[in-house]
Amino acid sequence: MKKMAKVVAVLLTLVMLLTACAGNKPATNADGEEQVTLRFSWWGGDARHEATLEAIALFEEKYPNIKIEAEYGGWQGHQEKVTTQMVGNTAPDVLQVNWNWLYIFSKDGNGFYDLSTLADINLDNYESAILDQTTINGKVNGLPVGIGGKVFYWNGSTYEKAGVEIPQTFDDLFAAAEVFQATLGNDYYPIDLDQYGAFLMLLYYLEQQTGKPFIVDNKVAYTEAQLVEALEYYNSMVEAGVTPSMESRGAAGNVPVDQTPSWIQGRYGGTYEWDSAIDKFQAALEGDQKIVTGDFLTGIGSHPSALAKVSMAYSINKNTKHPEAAAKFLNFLVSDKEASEILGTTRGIPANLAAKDTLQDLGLLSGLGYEGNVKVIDNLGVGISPYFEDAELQAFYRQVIEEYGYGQINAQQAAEKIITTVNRLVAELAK
Amino acid sequence: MKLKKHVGILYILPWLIGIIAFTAFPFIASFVLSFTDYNLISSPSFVGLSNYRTMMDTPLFWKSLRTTFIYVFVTVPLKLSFALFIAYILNFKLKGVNFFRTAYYLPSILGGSVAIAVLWRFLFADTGLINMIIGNFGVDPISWLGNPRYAIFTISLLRVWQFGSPMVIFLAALKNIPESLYEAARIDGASKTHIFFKITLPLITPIVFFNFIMQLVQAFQEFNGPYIITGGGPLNSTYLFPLYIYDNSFKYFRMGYGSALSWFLFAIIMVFTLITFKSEKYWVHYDGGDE
Repeated sequence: MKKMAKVVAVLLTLVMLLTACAGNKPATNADGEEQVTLRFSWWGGDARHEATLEAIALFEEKYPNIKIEAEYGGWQGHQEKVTTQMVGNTAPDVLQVNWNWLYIFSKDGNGFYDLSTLADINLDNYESAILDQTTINGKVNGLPVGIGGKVFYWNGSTYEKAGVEIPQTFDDLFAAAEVFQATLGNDYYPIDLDQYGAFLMLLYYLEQQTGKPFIVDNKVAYTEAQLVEALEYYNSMVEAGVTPSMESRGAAGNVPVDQTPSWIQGRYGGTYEWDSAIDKFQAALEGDQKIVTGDFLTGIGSHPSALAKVSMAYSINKNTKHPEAAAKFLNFLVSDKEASEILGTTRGIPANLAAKDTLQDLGLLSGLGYEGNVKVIDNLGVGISPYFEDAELQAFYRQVIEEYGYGQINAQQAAEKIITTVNRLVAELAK
Repeated sequence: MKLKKHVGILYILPWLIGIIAFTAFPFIASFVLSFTDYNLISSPSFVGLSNYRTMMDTPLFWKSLRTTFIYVFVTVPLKLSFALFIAYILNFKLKGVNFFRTAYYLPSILGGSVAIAVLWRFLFADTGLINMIIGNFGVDPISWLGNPRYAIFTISLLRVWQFGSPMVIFLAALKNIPESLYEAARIDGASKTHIFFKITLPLITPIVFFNFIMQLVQAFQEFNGPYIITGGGPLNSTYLFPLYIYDNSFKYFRMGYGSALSWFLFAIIMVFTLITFKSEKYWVHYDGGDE
C-alpha cells in the first residue's frame, strides 16, 4: 500500500511537470486562424502609455486572432531591461528602440528582423533619407518613429509673473535672471539645465559658433580652447543665476526634472528638452501654468544648431515566432488612420507619411511637441554621431559637468578630459 | 528501496535545479568571464588578467572603493549600536512593550524596497520634510543630497533606520541572560553601567559577532538606496561598489570587467569576514568556556 502511494505521488509530480510545460500550444479560433500572442514593449510617460494601450485594444478588436501583451514603463532602467532580454532571448516580438540601440544590438544589421522582407510593412510611407538612418548594411532594422530634437520650452506663467518677455537670445536670458532674482526670489531661474542639459548647451553654443558637429570621423571636432570658452560661458550662466548650480540641483536627489518640486511649482522658467517629451513636463506643472514653445536662442554665432536625430524606432525581434503577425501589428501602429488618431503625437511628430497626413487632416498637428518639431526642422544643425548617446559617454558627459560645476576641476582640465575621454570611448565603440 | 532514493531526489529536484542554474552556474561563469572581454553581443575573448589590471588604473574604481569603505564603517557600527540600544530598552518590563517592539521592527519589514528609497529621497530633498522640520527651529535648509559630504550619510541613515532584524536577535540574546547574574551583581552594589558592560555585553558577544558579520556582508552589497536616492552622485560621493559593478555590466556592457569587479568585492568581503573570525578569540565569550 505504502509503495503504491509513492508511485502515485511520483506519477502526479510528473504529470504536473508535463502539464506545466505544455501551456504554450498554439490554439486556433473559429475561423481556423492561428491564435497568436505578441509581446510589445515601450517606454514613455503616462500620456503615451494610455494612447498606446488604447491603440492596442483597437488592434485586438480588428484582428481577434492576435493578442498583444504590453510591457511598458518609464525610461529609467529600460535600456538595461531590454539588453537583458535581447541577450537572454526573451525580448518582446515588437520593440520601441532608441536610435543608437540599433548600433549596439545590430552592428552588422542582423540584430533585428529585416523589415524590408515583410510584405505587410509599407516602407513607401517613409522619406528615404530618414529610413537610411535605421538601415544598416542594407537591412531595415527599424521603422523611424519620428525626428526629435532638443527645444527651448519656457514656462510662460513664470515669465509672466516676472514680467519678462520670452527670451530670444542668450543676452535676454541673462537679463531675465536679474529680473527673476529681484521680483521672484533667488530660487527662481530662467532656465534649468541638468548635467546632460548643460553639456548639450555647450555643444549648442559651439555649433552655433563654428558650424561644426561635436564628433567628426569619430573624434571630437572642437579644440581645447573652444571647449574652454563654452565651459566658461556655462559657468557665467550659473554665476548670473541663469541656471541653477550643480549643487543646488543635486539637492533634489536623483529625480527626473519633471518630477522636481522646482519644475512642478514653476521655479524653473524653462527647460531644454526633447520635443517628444514636453507633454509630460506640461502635465507635471501645478495649477494652470502653461508652457510655451521658444525660438532657438541666438547671439553666439550665425550657424543654426538645433540638435536632431531619429528619436526612436520600432523594431521586430529577429527571433520572433510570428513575423507576419508582428508586421501586421507594426504597420497598423504606424499608419492606420484610427491608430494614428489615437496615438496623436505621443511619440513626437510621426515620420510615417500616412500617419502625418491623417494628423494633418484631423488638425491634430498642434501642441507643444509639434511646434517644437517645426522649429527643430527649421534650425537643423549638422547632426550627431550614432555613438553620441552611448550610455558610458552619457555618464561621462554628466560626470565632467558635475566635476566642473562643483569646482573640482577647472575649465582647462574639463576640456582636456572631454577630448581624451570622448575620443577613447568613441574609438572603442566604432571598433 | 531503490524507489525511495529516487523519490527523494525528485522532491529536492526543484531546489537542485534552482541552485545549479541560478547560483552555482553564474558563480562559476562570472569567474571565467572575469578573464575575458565580453560585451554580451559578440562572444567573449580571453584577455588574462587585463580586467584586474584595468581596475588598478581606474580612478573611479578607487573612488568607489573608498566610498564603500566609508559607507560600511559608518553604517555597520551605527546600526548595531542602535539596535542594541533599542533592544536593551525594550527588554525592560514596560507597559505596551509589545507595541513598541512591533513599531521598531516595522522599518525592517519595509526593507530595502524601492518605495522606501523614493520616500527617503523626498524626505531629504532640499524642499523635503526634514528641511521643513529643521526650518521651524530656524535652521537653514541643508543640502542633504546635493552636498557630497552629507550625501553618503543620508544613504547610510536609511540602512541604520532599518535596525529591526539585528534588534530582534539582540533582544532574544538579552532574554537569555540568567536573571541570577544580575541579582548577584545588584547585591554586590554594581551600577547599571557596570552591569551592562561587565555582564550584559560580554554575555551577548557571540550575537554581536553574528550580527556584525551579517550586517557587514549586507552593507558591502548595498545597491537600492544609492541607486534610487542619488544615482551615485553628487560627484560619485555615493557611488558604492555595487553601483560601479552594475553600471559596467548592465549599462556599458563590460561583462568581463563587471565580473572581475564582482570577484574583487567577493574577495574583500571574504577578507573582512576572515579577519572578524580571527579576532573572535579576543573578544567573543562563549558560555562554559575555559575561563
